[in-house]
Amino acid sequence: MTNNDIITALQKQFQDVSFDEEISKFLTINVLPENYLDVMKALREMGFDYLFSMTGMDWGAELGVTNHLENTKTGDMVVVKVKLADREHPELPTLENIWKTAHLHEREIFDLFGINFKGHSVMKRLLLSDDWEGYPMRKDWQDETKMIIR
Amino acid sequence: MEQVTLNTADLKSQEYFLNMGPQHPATHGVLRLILTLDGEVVKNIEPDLGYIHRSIEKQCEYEGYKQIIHLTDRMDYLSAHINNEAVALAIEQALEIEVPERVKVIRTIMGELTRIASHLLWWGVMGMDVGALTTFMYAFRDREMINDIMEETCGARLTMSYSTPGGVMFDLHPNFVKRVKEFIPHLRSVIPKYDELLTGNVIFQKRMKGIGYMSREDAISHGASGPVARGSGVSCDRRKKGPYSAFASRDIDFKEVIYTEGDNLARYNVRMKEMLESLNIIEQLIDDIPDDGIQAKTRALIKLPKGEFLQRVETARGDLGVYIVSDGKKNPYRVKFRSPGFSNLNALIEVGKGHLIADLVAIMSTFDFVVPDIDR
Repeated sequence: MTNNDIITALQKQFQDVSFDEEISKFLTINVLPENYLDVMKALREMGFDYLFSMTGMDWGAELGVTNHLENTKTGDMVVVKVKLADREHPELPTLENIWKTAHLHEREIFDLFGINFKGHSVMKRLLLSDDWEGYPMRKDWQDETKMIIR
Repeated sequence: MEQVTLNTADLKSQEYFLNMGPQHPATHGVLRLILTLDGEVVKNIEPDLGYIHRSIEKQCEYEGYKQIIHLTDRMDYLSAHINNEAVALAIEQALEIEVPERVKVIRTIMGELTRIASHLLWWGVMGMDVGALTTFMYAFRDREMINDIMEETCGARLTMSYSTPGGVMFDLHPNFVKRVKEFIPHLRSVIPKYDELLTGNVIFQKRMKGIGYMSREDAISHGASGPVARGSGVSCDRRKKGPYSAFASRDIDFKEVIYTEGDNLARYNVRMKEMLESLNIIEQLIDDIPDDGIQAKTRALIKLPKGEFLQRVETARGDLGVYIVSDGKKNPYRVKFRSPGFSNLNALIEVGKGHLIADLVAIMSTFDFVVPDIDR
C-alpha cells in the first residue's frame, strides 16, 4: 500500500484529514479530535497492526498526540497527529480497544501532559505520585527546583 | 466454658493486594507491581512506575544534541552502547552525514558485544530467579571479559558514551582485536556448559515450558519487541528489517532467531541462540575493520534542520525508537524515547494473569526488564 493509496482511502471516508509528506520520512496524517478514533480504526483495518509509539506533544497553543503506526507485514509506517486546542480540559478517546499497547502509553501521556483519555480502564498517574500538581512535560511548566530548567 | 464450633460453610476466600517491589530481588530494580491475588493466583497486575524516573525526555529539551547521548546511557544501561548509537544515528540521519566505514564496523561490533553482555547478565539472574544461584557466578565471570574490552577502548565499563554524532569517541585500543578473538571461542566453549547447568535441568524445564504463554497476535497488539516478541513468532529484528551501521553497509550473514511457542522457554531459547548469532556477526567483522578514520566532519555546535526524525535500533531488549522533533535550534523541541521495556511491560500485565506468584517471577525474568529503560 503506497502513501497515495492511504490518502485516497482516507479521503473517501473523512473530510477534514490533511496530509504531509515533507516533515518526515513517513506520511503524516493530521486528524481532528472528533475523527481521531475512526481514522485510527480505519488504519488498523488497512493493516497497521503495530502501534509503535504514542508521543505526547505540546505545540504551544495546542496539546496533542503523535502516533507512529507500523504494518508488520510490509514494514510501512505512518504518523497520525491529533491536536487539541483546549489546554484546560484536553480529552481524547482511548485506543486501548484497538491496540493493547495504548494502555500504558496513554497513562504516561495523561501523567506528563494531562490529556485525559476517555474510556481508558485505569486513567491514573503512572510515573509521578498521585498528589503531584501540574504536568511537567508541558512547555509552560515551571521548574521551581531548577533541576532540569536551569 | 463456651464451646467454639467452626462451621466450614461460613468460610470464604477473599481477594487481597500484595505489593511486589519496589524493593524486591525479582524486579531487578525499582519496579512496583500491585498484585491482586486469590490465594497464590495472580488476578490482576497494576504497575506503578517512576521510582527511577529522571525525566530524560524533558532534560533533552534543554541540552545540546551532543549532550543527549550521555543521558541515554542511563536508560537501558545494559544496552548503553546501542542507545548511544541510536541517538547518533538519528542526528546523522537529520544532518545527512555519512560516517566512515570504520565507524560503522566498530559500532556494530561494540553493539553485539553489548548484546552478549546483556544476555549473559540476563541468563545469570534468570537462573537465580528460579533458584539456581550458580548461574549468576558463571555469567558474571564471562561478562567481565566484555566489560574489560569495553574499558580498554571506551574508558568505561557500563555507561560508555562511546558514539558521538558522526563517529566514535576514541579509536580502538591496540589490544581490542586480540581480546575479542580470545573471547569468541571462550564463549562458544562455555555456552554448552550453560545448557548442561541450567537449560536441560528438569526442574528448570518445568518452570519454563508452557508458562507465560503469549500469542503472536497479542505480542503485536501489546507492542512487544525484541526476544519477547520473537519468542511468540513475530519477526521484528531491526537489524534485518531496518538495517543500520554495518548491517546496512556490509553483507552480514546471520539468522533472526524466532521461536513460535510463545512461552517462557521460547523467550529463553531466543536469547541463548542470539548470543551465538552475535558471535557470528562479530567474527565476520573483526578481521576486516577498515582504516578510514573514526569521525566524520561535524560542526562544534550541532543544529538539526526543521523536521521530525525517527531512528529505530535493536537493543538487547528490543525495538528502541528515538524520535526527535526539531525546530531548527541548538536543542530539540521534543525528544521521545520509545523504549522496548515500556511496551513489553504492557504485555506482562496480561501474560502474568492467572499464574502463581512464583511463576510470575519466572515470567518477569524471561521478559528481561531493566527498570530505568521503562521509567526513563
